[in-house]
Amino acid sequence: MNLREARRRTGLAAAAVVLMSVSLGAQTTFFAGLSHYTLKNGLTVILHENQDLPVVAVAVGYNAGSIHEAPGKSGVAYLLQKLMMFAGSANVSRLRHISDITRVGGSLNAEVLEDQTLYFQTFPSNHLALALWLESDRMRSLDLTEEHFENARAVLLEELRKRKTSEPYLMSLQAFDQLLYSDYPFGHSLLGTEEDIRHLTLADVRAFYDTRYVPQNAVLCISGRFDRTAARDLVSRYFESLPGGKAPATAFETRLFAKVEVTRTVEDALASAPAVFLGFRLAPSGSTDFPILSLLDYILMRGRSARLTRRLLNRDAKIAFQLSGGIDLRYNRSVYKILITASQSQIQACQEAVFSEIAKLKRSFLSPAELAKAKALYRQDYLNRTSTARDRAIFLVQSFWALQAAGRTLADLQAEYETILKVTPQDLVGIVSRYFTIENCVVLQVRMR
Amino acid sequence: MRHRLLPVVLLPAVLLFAAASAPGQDERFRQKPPAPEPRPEIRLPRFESSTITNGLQVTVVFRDPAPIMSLFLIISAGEHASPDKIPGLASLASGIFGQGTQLRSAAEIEENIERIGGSFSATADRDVILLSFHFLEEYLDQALELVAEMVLLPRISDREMKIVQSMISAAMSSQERNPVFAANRLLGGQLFRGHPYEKYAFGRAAMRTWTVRDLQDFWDRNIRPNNAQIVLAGAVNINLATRKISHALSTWTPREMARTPLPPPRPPERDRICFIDLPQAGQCAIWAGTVLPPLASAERFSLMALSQILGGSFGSINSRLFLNLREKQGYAWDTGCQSEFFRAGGIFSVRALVRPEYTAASVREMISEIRLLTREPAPSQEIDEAKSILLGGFPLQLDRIDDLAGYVASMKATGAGDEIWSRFAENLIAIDAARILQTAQKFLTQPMVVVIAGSRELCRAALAEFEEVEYFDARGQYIETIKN
Repeated sequence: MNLREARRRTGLAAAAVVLMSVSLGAQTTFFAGLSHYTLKNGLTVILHENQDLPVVAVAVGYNAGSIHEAPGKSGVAYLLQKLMMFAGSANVSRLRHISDITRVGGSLNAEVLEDQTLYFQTFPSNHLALALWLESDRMRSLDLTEEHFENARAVLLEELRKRKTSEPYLMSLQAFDQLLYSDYPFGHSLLGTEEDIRHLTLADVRAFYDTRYVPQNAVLCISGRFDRTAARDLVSRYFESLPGGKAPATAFETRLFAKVEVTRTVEDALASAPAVFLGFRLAPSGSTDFPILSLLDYILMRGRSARLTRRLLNRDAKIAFQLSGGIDLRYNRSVYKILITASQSQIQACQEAVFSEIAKLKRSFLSPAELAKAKALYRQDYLNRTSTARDRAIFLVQSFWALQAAGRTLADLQAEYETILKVTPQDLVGIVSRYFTIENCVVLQVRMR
Repeated sequence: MRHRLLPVVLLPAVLLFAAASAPGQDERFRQKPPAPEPRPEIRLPRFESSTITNGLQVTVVFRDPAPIMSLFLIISAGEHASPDKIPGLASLASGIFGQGTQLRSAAEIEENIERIGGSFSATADRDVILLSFHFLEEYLDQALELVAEMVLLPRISDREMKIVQSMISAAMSSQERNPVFAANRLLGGQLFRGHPYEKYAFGRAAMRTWTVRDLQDFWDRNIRPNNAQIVLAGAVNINLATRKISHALSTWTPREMARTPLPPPRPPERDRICFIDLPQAGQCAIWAGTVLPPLASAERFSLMALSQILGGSFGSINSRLFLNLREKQGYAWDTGCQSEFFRAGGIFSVRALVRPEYTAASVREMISEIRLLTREPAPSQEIDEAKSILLGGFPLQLDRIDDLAGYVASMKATGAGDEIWSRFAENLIAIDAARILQTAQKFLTQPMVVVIAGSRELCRAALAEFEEVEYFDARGQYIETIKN
């Protein structure tokens, strides 16, 4: 479809100057409903139609997380998320965004991550214009006053204080991240430090907002039952005239981790049991190895019958209290985390059990049945993550950023899904041998104080 | 020279243009929220039912496409069916479903469930034991085989019972430190005192009375096809589903069931203040409520609207409790109100998470807000907003296939009918101020039980403001009554 034809068919006279309609085939119904385009101010718009129940979700994601915070300004991304949720904007008074969405039976929330911040709401489909009006207003004119800023700072400091004094292993996990990601942007805590937060100014928050909360640095997704032409008109009405801003420099190069074994020990006053955290530094997310690593996660830790789950939490010979982890992806860097708590007498056995299971994966090919099980769980997980209007909107925004960090686009989404379903036992042996090595591992042993 | 002058000459025009095109200057549509489109029609998935030869009822909720299927097995053997002296037996039985079968260990069953891209859980509530399975659509046959094996060949032994016992005990032990859980559980137990539903509030002490023989008896009496139903949601029709379910489960043998209807609960005899001492709690959870008999449709919807006006089940920021306790008084972090409906009755409750020093003041405000609804009709604006929230939120509850199947399973479990399905909107729209007032006067003038969970030390001054307080420990065991 050429541009002129696309405009005619969508009824857009001159709204969007860049238009890319993507047909992703019909292998699953999920990919069939997907299209995306870019407004002239740089805002990426993703539409996902599903003519089921009259429900629509709108998600807006900003490429703005803790990795974008300058040294000494930690916590600014999280603080801004609180202001976006509660402060109001030029035409929307304080708390009105929440009130307007809940009044029509909808629900909303926000999530700040290391590499992005996401705002999302689900509501009856006749209120799409309302949600777009609200989101566009806070994108263009957040009400950044000293009063709102001080309130948000107080809330953040209180949350930090509470979590630091009550959340087991929080301090150890922060230390673990610093070991895994040795540079400031990736290694510092999303929560920020008390000292940095106390020194933040309204000007710091405004600068972060003005730089990162701009259409060039944002993606809007509408998912659910809506009329495509009407939705595009509404997007144009509310977002087209917003100044695009400058696309902030990404500044993060694909970087390979140093292959050096790291082992440290920390004492954690809130630890309820000894713990060991293992981190294997993986390939950048754009690598062809990444889909294979994604499936490996299902073999190691997803589900009750995964290898590490069964080995450590076996009901007849349980040696660990808890096991969690998986792939930790921050922009284009990733780490496989394995977090274990156990009794003092078993903690070493747990660590050895992990390496023993890894050694098995290097030595012998996975059986067809085990590989099929991992793929079935992967499919189920994928379908679950895309099962409601809200889930799809969040998934698509997050996928957009992940694919962009990997040097790809949403057009590659289906191919990525299919690549994972084509992983072979040979691929897995190769990947485990390459990344799950002693010299590629960071170990943090956590002792109770 | 001309080139140098040009920018100066053009500057005012550029500024003028920039000013005219700046956002907000001629965009009056930004100043007011857009009007909504007409309310969309909700085309609910259709469901059809059948019964196989052994009495097992089957309901299929048709949804296409549905790459994941959701199956609920509902057995009418919730805690009401536990023997009076052995509360918790239904919960134990539900746990046994996850302990493997006579043919395969629990680990093997888990592995088989995961091979079909599946997940499984089993719980017991007041009315039913509920088993839920979610799996990739192409594995319906394999899923039904697993269900049949778990139902027909359970692994009931001392070993399995002890495993379940320790799992329930560990879960309870960690939850008991949570003021919200502790207060909610005690309120349910106190409101249903002397009623079969009281057993749902069983504590860890009750587990000591469990024996394998009791469990086997419970199983033999209750885990029967003529005491059960299957709800299946997915792209499958009723004929095919019935054939497949019959193939998998027709050997499940029925047994004559004693069908004595449960009595309606009796309202509390007097207002009571109960306190659970949780020394580590920095906040106080307050739950106050009363019981409801089985309700006619109009009363049910009136209570739903009324609960929304007061607090909303997820805590509405426009509700009376939120605006009073949080925004006006600054007592509470969170507030809410809900009406829960079971087969033999229900619970109306309000809740708040408050600062300990404002516990007594918060209770007074909460009761006062309830009583106000029994005296004055709610303004139409509040009623319209409550309807809008409930009506708009209805399809949101059904978007995920397991939520859709769960909603229908809950209808079946509690005996609710079409009034909360295809007639949901109609019933809600019919509610008006007079009906709400009438319903409030009928049920909310009853005595209330208030349960507070928090640190006794931090609440000492606030508790002294009540005439009489009954004290309980974290496990829900009565300690003492103190009159002030």
